[in-house]
Amino acid sequence: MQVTQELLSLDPFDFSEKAKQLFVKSFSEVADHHYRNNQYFRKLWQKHDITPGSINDEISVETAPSIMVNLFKEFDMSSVPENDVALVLTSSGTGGRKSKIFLNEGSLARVKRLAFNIHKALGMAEQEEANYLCFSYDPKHATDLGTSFTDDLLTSFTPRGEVFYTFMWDDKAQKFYFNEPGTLAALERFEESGKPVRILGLPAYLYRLLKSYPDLKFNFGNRSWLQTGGGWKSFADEEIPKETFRLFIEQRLGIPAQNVRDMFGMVEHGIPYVDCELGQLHIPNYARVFIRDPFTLKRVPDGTTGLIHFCCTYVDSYPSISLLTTDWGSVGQCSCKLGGFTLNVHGRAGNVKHKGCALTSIEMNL
Amino acid sequence: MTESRIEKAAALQLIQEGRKRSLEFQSIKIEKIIEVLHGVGNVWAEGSPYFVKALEVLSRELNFSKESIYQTLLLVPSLCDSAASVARIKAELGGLEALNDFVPTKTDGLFVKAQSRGVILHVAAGNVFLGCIDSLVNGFLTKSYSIVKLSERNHEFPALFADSISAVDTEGILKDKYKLVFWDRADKETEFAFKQNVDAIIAWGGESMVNSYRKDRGLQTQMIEHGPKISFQVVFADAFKERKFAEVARQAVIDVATFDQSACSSAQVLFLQDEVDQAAFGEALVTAFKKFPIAAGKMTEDDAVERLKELARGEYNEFILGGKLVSGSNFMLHFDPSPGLRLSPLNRSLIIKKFSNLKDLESQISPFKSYLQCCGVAGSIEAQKQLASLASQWGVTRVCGVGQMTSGKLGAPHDGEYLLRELLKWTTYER
Repeated sequence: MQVTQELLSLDPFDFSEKAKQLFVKSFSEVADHHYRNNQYFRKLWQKHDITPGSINDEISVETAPSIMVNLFKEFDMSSVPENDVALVLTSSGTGGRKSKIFLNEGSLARVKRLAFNIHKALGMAEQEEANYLCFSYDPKHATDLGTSFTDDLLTSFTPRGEVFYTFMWDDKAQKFYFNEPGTLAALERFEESGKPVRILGLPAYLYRLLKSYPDLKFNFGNRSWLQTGGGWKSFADEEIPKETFRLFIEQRLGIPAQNVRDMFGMVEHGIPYVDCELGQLHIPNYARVFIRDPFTLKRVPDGTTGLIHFCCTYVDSYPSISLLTTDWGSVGQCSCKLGGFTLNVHGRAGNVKHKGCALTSIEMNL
Repeated sequence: MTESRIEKAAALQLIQEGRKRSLEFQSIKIEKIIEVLHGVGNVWAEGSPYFVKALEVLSRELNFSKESIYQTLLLVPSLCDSAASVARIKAELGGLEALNDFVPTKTDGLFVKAQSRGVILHVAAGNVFLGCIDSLVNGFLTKSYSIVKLSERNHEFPALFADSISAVDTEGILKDKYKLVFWDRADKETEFAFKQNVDAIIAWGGESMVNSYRKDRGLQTQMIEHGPKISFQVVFADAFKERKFAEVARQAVIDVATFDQSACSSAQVLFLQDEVDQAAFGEALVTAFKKFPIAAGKMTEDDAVERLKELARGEYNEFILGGKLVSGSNFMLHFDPSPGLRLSPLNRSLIIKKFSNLKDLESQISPFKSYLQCCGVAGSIEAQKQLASLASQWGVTRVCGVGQMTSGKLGAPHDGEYLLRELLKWTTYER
């Protein structure tokens, strides 16, 4: 993974020809690994009459066969021996089966590195210690969840002060619960400490908490950040526009609107797509995003909505380097200084009637 | 009596009005109701102005092919047919008279009367557009005042049906005994008003919808649920002793292609006994799909995604687990080597699984026990009988021949219940 290491040494938002060509080479390199070590990947590429050696430009990356995300939820798809697996991550499983993702040491190190690089480039990695409030599961009890891994990663971009997880494990009930009193106490404690605060996780819980205490106000200051991710999940009915949410947070928590950043990520595809200061999710040079027509799988023009197809190169332990998702999205552009393209995510694709249906739940548990 | 958007205050008023009309309805003889209904059916004959208009409207509103809509519209007269109504009532209630008055029973001095529950809210499903009409007809035959909540994607056709009732029903027998309504999903106040105040809710549709109507009901509000169901086919090896692959395949495809698998009784999985030559039967199925006379409907983008997921699954099975995937322009066959019943992506996608014996079959379908509906079977009479006997214990509510899953016999129960009886309660008079 020499070329991929080289790619990760570059600025994630370097879109020079040289950097872009390095991505192509890196894709070829990681494809070669999967081709040699994953039977399904190899047969898929053979069916499409393509070899890793033929990946030599952007078009060849675009036309490389993709693997649909549901396969990672239904089958164990590893490209390394079991002994080499350092961490198994599972997705949060919202409305469906959980993906099981196998990370070896190399992939783990690379995903951490690229996440750091992206956050650093966005000005979100700093030397000053910060306290963290994570709207997610206490990792002591949820070690295999992708969201916990993400939190762990996102709390590593500054020296850590206190880290408080809002979803606590109830031993008696054997389930997680939202620790509201503990969360309120942590917010007060963090404000008193004078240190910058970083709030991470699902936006709905923070929003609902603040809405239910209209008099609650904090001033965490300009060095604090709120980084949301994971969408509004089961609170979709209460979702408010991103811009309104950013202003709401500025008013209630004293965190500047430009420091409220959303992130899109998937456990199957570890590239974090993070908001710039203008609130646009940027695509780094560590990935490619193609939008496809669900009927023909042909690429649609920029700005048109279709199925999101992600390509990346950091992972050699499972073959998700060309991943067709079940999310609707489009690609656009932004006027900020980062350059490149932006990603707009428009929600889950597939039939709603199959989601939340008892029949589907049975399938999930089989 | 056309459809209208409704809000809480109007909903409460409508329920009050419904109670009055329901009382009036009790004094009308069932024979008269059947006669008027039959007249409504007559104006829906093939090629009639209502038929033609409905065909045009539904072709625009729904994704089904025009041929499929045409075939379905042909069923409207039979839904309203007087002989069919009489046969259904006789099958479910023993005779018509109990709907008019007390009738003697076999017990000396015991008389019974089938009494309407009063005001019924019908929550119609959108998957089969005749569903709301069928439910409304049941309301008429039980002398219930019906409030029909329309599905989001099916408004114009019920309005046309309402128009035909008004045109035929010059005496006012049926036309003021129902109302077609709709409200926004977010309008929980209106939904709550109905749930608290109607006498019964009959809900057809998905799990989340049924759950939402279960909650917050008034103490007197009876819940009649027809939630999500899954249906499957079983083909025994001995089916081919007297019949050819082509014949069984042709019938199997009827259960899949009719309504593009959107009915609860549509086959999603076919269990094929081990001894059967899978490749040869597969070829026969492919031919049958290609020859099926009714064109497939249009898929939505979300349907296409479900299809992509199955294609990926099929490709994986083919490369790694020895499965097989055959997809054509209007069908998909997936020979899935992993055991177990599961959902198909629909739109003429049939998943084929193997089974060795009935015990094996039971283990493959048992996780779905509470959601099983129809089992279409091809095999010797002996095999069919044996399966029917066991399937009823497994939770299957209907066993029929392959090819008959999406049709049904008059007077047969649906989802294990007699539909007219569900809308009635029995009053006894003991002399």
